[in-house]
Amino acid sequence: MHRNILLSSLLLMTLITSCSTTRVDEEVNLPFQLIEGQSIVVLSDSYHTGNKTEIDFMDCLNKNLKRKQNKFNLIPTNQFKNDFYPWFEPSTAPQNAEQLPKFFKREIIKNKLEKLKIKYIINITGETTTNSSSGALSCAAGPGGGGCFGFAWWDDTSSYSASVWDLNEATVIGNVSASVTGTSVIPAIVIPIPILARTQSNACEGLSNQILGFFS
Amino acid sequence: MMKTLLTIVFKSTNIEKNESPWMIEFNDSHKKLFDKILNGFFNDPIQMETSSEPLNDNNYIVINIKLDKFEFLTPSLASNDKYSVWLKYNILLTNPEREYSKSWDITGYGEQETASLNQNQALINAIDLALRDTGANFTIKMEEEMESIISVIE
Repeated sequence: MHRNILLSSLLLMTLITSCSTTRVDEEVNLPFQLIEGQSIVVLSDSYHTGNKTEIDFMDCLNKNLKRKQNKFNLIPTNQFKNDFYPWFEPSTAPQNAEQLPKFFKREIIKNKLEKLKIKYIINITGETTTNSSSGALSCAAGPGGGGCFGFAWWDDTSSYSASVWDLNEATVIGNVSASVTGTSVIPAIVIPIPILARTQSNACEGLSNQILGFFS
Repeated sequence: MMKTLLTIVFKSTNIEKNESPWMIEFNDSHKKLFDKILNGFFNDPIQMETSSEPLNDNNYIVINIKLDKFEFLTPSLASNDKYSVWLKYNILLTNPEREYSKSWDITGYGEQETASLNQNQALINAIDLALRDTGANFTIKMEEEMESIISVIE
C-alpha cells in the first residue's frame, strides 16, 4: 500500500514540473566603448523611490558578472558604497544619470572614480512578487504515522531592469531587462513535494547575460 | 575638541497583542559610528564623560550627541513585508567662552524587506541602514558647517 503511494508520488512529481517563461529586452541609445581594464559597478535604485530590489538579487548579479567575464573589472556594490561613503547611500545617491554632474563637482568623488577607472554605473530596478496563489494542503499526524494531502500553487514574477549610465557623458546609454514568470506547485500525497519555479535566480541569470551581451 | 557619547539598550513595550516585545542591544554601535566620522574630520578628538570638568581652553567645541528618538515598524504593525527603522539624534555644539552654540537634528532611516531573511536579521539590516544614513547625513552637515566650526576653534 505504502509502496503504491510512494510510486504515485514519484509519478506525479515527474509529470508536474514547475514552468516558467522568460522575457528579455535590450535597448541601446548611444554608441559606447568599454576598454579592457575599465571598471563597472552595479547599484540598485534607492528604496526612497519605492524600489524593492532584494539584497540576494544584487549579490547574485555581482557574482554572475564577476564569474562570467574578464573584460572589465567589476567593483562589488558594497565595496563601492563604502569607498564613496556618504555619497551613494539610499538617501544621497543620484536617482538618475542627469544628477551625475552635481556629484562630479566634488573633487574627491571625481578623483576616486578616475583612480578606480569606473566608466559605467549599472542601475538596477525591479523585484520579485507573488501574483496569485491557490489550493490547499492539510497535514495530520497520529499514533500510526502522519502525512499530508492536497495541492497548492502560486505564481511569481521576477522583473528587473538595468539602466547603463555613462559617467563621462552623464547620460543613459542603454537599458536591458529580464522578466521571468513562473508557477510553483506543492503536490502532497503523504509527502509534500515542493516543485519551485526559481524565478529570481532565472531573472538574475537572464539579466547578467543581457548585461554581458550589451558590453560584448 | 570634545564629545559625549552614549551606550544604548532599547526594550519595546507590547503595542499589539500578537507582537512579542523586542530587546535591542545597540552596545557601542552609535558611539563607533560617531567616533569614526569625527576622527575623519578632526585630529585626536577627546572623549568626555558627562560628569567631566570643562576644558581650560578656548579653542575647542563640545559636541554633545544624544539619541532623541528611535522608532521602528515591524511587518505586522505596518501591514507590509518590511522592517523600518527611524533614528533622530540631537547634536549640540557649544563653546560658551566664544558664545558659540548650534543645535542640529540629524535623522537616519533604513528599511529591509523580510524576503528570505529571518525577522531578526531583517531588523538588524534595517538598523544598519538607518545608522549608515545617520552617518551620511551627519557627515554632509559637518562638511557644510566646517568653516564656521574651524573659525571657533582656531
